[in-house]
Parts: sequence; C-alpha cells; structure tokens
Amino acid sequence: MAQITYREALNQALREELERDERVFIMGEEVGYFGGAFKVTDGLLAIFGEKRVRDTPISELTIVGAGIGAAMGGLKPIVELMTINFGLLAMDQIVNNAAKIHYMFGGRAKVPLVIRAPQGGGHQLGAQHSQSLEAYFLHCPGIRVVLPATPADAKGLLKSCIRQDDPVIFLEHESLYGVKGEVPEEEYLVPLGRANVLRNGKDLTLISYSKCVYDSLAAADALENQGIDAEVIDLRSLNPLDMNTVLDSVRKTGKAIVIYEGWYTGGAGAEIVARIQEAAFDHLDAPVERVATLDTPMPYNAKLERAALPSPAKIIQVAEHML
Amino acid sequence: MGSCTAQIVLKRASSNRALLLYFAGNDVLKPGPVELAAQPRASPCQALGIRWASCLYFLKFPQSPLLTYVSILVNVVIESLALPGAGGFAFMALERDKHIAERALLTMDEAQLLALYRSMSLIRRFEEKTAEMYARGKITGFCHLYAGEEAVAVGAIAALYDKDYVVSTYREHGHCLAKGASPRVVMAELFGKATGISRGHGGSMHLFDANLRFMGGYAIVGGGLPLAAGLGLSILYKEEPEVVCCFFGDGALPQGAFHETLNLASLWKLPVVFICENNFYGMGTLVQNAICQEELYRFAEPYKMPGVRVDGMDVLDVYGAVTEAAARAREGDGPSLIEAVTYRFRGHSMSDPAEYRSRREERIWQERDPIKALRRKILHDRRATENQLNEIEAEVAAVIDDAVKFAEESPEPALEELGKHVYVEE
Ligand SMILES: Cc1ncc(C[n+]2csc(CCOP(=O)(O)OP(=O)(O)O)c2C)c(N)n1
Ligand SMILES: [Mg+2]
Repeated sequence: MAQITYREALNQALREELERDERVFIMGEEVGYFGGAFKVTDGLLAIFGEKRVRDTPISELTIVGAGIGAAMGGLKPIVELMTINFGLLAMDQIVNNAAKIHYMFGGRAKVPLVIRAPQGGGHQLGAQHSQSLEAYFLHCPGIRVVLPATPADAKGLLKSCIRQDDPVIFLEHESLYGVKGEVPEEEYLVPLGRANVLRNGKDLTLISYSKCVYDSLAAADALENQGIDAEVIDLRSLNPLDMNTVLDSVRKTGKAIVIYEGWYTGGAGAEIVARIQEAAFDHLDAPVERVATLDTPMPYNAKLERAALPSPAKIIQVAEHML
Repeated sequence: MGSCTAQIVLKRASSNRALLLYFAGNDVLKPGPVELAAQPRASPCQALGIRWASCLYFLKFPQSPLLTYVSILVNVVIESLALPGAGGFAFMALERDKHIAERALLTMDEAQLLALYRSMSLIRRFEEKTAEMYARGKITGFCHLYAGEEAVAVGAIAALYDKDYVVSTYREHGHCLAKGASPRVVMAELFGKATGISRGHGGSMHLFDANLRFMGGYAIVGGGLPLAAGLGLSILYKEEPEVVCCFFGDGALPQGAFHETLNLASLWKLPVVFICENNFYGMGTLVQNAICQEELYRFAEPYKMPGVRVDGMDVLDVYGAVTEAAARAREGDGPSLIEAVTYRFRGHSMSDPAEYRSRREERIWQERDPIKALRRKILHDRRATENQLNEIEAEVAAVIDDAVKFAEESPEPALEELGKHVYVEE
C-alpha cells in the first residue's frame, strides 16, 4: 500500500471517477486554473479540460443549483464549495431543492450530486472561516452527510458518493489535507453507512468523525497508559448513520463519549447521545458525554482558539471523570 | 390615483401620424388618427378615466420607417384607482414589432391555432374546476391559479420541441398541462392522491414529469432559475439540441438567484430561455414597489443577452418571441430574457381576495382575456368557425370533469409511502 495524503487521495478519487464515467464533471470556484483553493483538484484541468473541470464565478447558490439541474439532466456533477462557510449562501438550494426533489416529486426525480466542501477550525482563520456545519445538513432528511477522516476513507467514500444517486454533502477537514495514510493501490470503494472501529477496547467508547477521530485516537493512547482501554469508532458518515456499530460497542463498554468539532449545542453529537440512550439505556454505566467546540464564534487568538476546540486533553479529562 | 398597464397598438400612417388600432385590449377600438407630435385630443383613454399625461408616450413613436405596427405597454395613471404606492406613473414601454404575432398568426395552420386555443381553454377550465374543488375542501394547502396567464405558458411551450425542458414555479398547473401532462394526474396530485403526478408527495406547487421534460414546480421564489442553468449545462455537455424554458414571476427579479443565474447562463452561453411572467404583483406588492427597474426585460442588458417585452395576453406574441429565443439558444448563441406582461385573474392564492387592487383594474384586464382574444382573432380571420371553437370548449370541459372524477376515485397513498422516496438508495 502507498502512503499518500488525504488531499492526494481525494485527487485520485476524482481522477479515477472522471476517467471512469463521462458524466462525471467538477465545477466550483477556482477548481480549474488555480487547482482548487486547497489544491484538491490540482492537475485535473490539464488532463480533462474545461468541460470536465469547470471554473465558476463566485455564485454559491447558483453553482449548487446548477449542479442540481445538471444532475437532473443526467450528469454526475461534483460541486466544490471553496469552504462550507460560503456554502451557507447555497443553503436554499441544498435544503429546499437537493434534499427535497426526490421526495416531493414522488421518487420520480433524482439528484446524483456530490457537494464537496472543506470545513473546520484550528488555523486562526477567525469566526467566519472556521466552522464545522455538518449538523445543519444532518438535520435535513434527503441529503447524505459524509465526513472522511483518513486518506483511504477519503478516496473510497468519495468514489462511493459519486457512484450513488442521492445528493451528498462531503465535508473534508481543512486540517487533514496534509495527513498521510495507507491507501490501497488497487481500485476499491468504501461503502456508505458503515462505521469503522479503529481501535478495540472494553472500558469506554470514543465516538467521533472527521478530524476528531485523531484526537480520539491520541486520547485512547494516553488513556491506555493509565490502564483504561478505550474503543475508538469513526462514524465516517452521519447520514447514513451506522448506529449498530456504536450500540454494539456501547453495550460492551457501558460508557461513551462523543467527540465532534461542531458547536456543543445542537451538534451532531447530541443526536448520537440521544440515540444511544434511547437504544442502550440499560447498558449504560454513566451518562453519555460530549466533547465539542465551545458555544462561541471562533476567536482568532491561537490560545483561545485551542481552548475552544476539542482536544485529546479534553477527552482524557472527561474520560477520567467518567471512570 | 393608481396605475395599471394598458396596451396600445399604433399603426404608422406617415412620418408623424399614427393610427390608434387598439387600446387596453379593446380590439380596434375607435381607430383614428393620432398626432405624434402633439398631445392627443380625444382618445378612448377618457372613457377609462386615464389621464392625458400617459398618452405623451405617443411622442416616442420610433422614427424607423420600417416599423409599421407598434405595440406599446404603458403604465397609465388611472385617477379613480387607489393602488398602494403607485404614485405617479412610469412608462413601461417597449416598442415591439407586432409583426411577429401577426406573422405567427399567418404561418400557423388551423390545427396549430386550434391546438393553442384548446390548450389555453383546458388550463382555464382546469383552474376553474380547481377553484371549485378547493372551495369544496377537496384540494387543500397552497394553491395558485394561472387563470388569465394562459397565453404565456401555452405560447411559450408551443414554441418548444417535446424534448425541450421546462422549469417552473408554484404557479405551474398551466405549464405542466401545456407541456402535455394529463389533467387526470395533475388533478389527482392536487387531491393528494397516490395516482398523482408526484404520487401525492408534491401537491399543487410540486408537479413533475421527467418524461415530459417538465422538470418541476418550485415554491421558493427564484429557486428554479439555477436548476434551469444546470439543465442547460447538461444539454451543452451532452451536445444535445434541446433548450430549457424557465418560467418565473416578477417577484424573482430582486432575488440573488436571478442575477447569479443570468450571469452564469450568459457567461457560459447556456441554452436557456428565461421567461418572466410579469403580472405586476408579487402577492400584494406592485412591481414598482419591489424592483428599481420596472422595465423588467432591461435586466437582460447588463447580462449581455437579448431582452424583450411581449404581450403576455397574446399567445401568438409570446409564441413568436420564444420561437426566436429558442432558435437562438439552440444555435449556441446563449440565453434570452423575455418579459411577458400578463395578469392573474384570481388572487395570489386561493386564500387571497386581492384587496390590494381594484375591481376596475381587474375588469380592464379581463377585457384582455387571452382566450377571448385568440377566439376573436380566429373568428375575425375566419380560421375556424364558432362551432369548432365551441366544440373544443365542450370537449375540454368533459376532459376536466373526467380528471376530477379520476382524482376523486383514486386511492390515498398508503401510509408506508410516507417514508419512501427520501433517498434513491434506502
Ligand atoms: C424565497 C421566498 N420568499 C418568499 C416567498 C413567499 N412568496 C410566495 S409567492 C410570493 C410572490 C411571488 O411573486 P411572483 O414571483 O411575481 O409570482 P406570481 O405569484 O405573481 O406568479 C412570495 C413573496 C417564497 N415562496 N419564497
Ligand atoms: Mg407576479
């Protein structure tokens, strides 16, 4: 297996799918000549040309809407939003059109659209550039929400998303683009809706997705030194949500912490906590806890920003308190 | 004091004289000479209580000797009306060669003309029945009728091929029927039945049929425009010859989606015909209270596409303009903006008594009923007999009665349908 970055893995996925299926094309701000704001689409314009890798004006609402229309017209568009913060301008098209069209037309229309967007904090980009907004989309039925943590998943999940027929919000964490990991050389897909148990343990379940998976793994390593055996689950996607894997683990450990980078209040983790207590209340030895971003806009100051975000130290603190 | 729009058709008589052919929809109403250089002395305006000042527009009769007919839509001030915010008057005029409509009338064969007549009558009848069924509680929720605006959908869609796409709004019964949907499945959808065109999941505002290339009614004002651009992109991408016809109301023009989409469509030369149905109101708000530029077709200019204003009460005028725009789009020359000036005969939705406009204004427009106008034209030119037209009316009434019966007798969706169709892949 090759060691490649999350960014390269995404780039490979895009290239392979562009090669595989004529209907697949990419559009978004700066995806072509600039190579992508985070260089994910780098080099693709040179291979596939302007028809398949299309630069757009700064018109998020209409780029997403045009992606929906193109999908309804039989294509498989991949729309890149420069970051999810700007995706808020497209919220109407995402929520009112993409997520609704299949249902409100009685199953007679479909929107095979993938919307890729970087998100997340940690780079001192301030309040308007540091958000993790997956909960906004998770709240809305009709649209898949996928958040890969590893390079292998980034590639395998993106390819699966492109090949299926529902609209997807594919959220990439800005801190992960440079992260390296093993990625199979041969063609593979990671199916949607299957959480990944990254580490087995019997004392405690750490449930997370996207960048927080790394925080969870680091916390688990540290806890091991204290004799605490933590299981780490990467959800991979919030919709579909693989609760079976989560519940199997929680029934075994009796304790769980959900770690996510969205705001604490109303975050995706709140949903997971609720579902755990609904389905596994009798197995719980302690209330299910959450480690999330503080309920403030993101500060610029580095120290304050670190304090706002989830971290291994915070996970460890909560775990110690729990056990 | 308030304002409304009237149409004036002038025929050039000499360099500074024109004949007033018709005014405010009264065909060939008191034709007589009009001094172009002076304020007209007598005109039917008086009878309508319209101030003379509005007729100053005559002075702007274009000097091009090529133009013989001019259709002018003027926003005239009617003293006896009290419309909110309609202080003063603004001329909303576009000189448009009425030849196009005349030519369409001449080049269409009888069958085509009668098909237009039938389609408009079918929609009118459908809407009348819908109102009736709504009053009887058979149809619920939001329901926006298209009566009065039939010439726009029918004229535009008649100018398209079957494989061309249509994107519409929540006021889309007319577009969907004109595109060929069976009144049965549309009525069944309004009834919320399993046999409905969207299986009862959509309702009045969300009709859809991919086979007919009727790509849906969307209830967010301006929300359909980006989809039309995307469909246009898919056509270019697949190198297909189709075009997209995108309908929206005057209320969509202040929306960002309108401006973003026109820019994108023009930038990428997308094969889209944008048709703004200017019925003067977005709910109860007059166009001039919502949009800084009330000559809506002029929004084409900054986006570098042709923009025309057509008489949306004249099916042939709409047909002519859309034929041109669609041909242009098909040839790869990009999008156009057509402003079809029209009027909805009913309130905004079934619950709106339209208190914000006068009954007199409504009457003026009802005189311009697009179906009656076509009927007059057909009979005047002896393209069909009164009998033929009456037969069409009767046939259409039977079709709609059958649609209601079908809807009534259709089953409700099973409860299991509730959770179905959220995802393609469950
Ligand atoms: C984004 C949005 N804002 C407000 C509304 C509520 N609304 C529904 S119809 C309408 C008026 C639209 O008028 P227009 O576009 O002229 O269409 P018409 O009803 O005249 O056909 C409004 C404000 C909406 N549906 N969507
Ligand atoms: Mg309107």
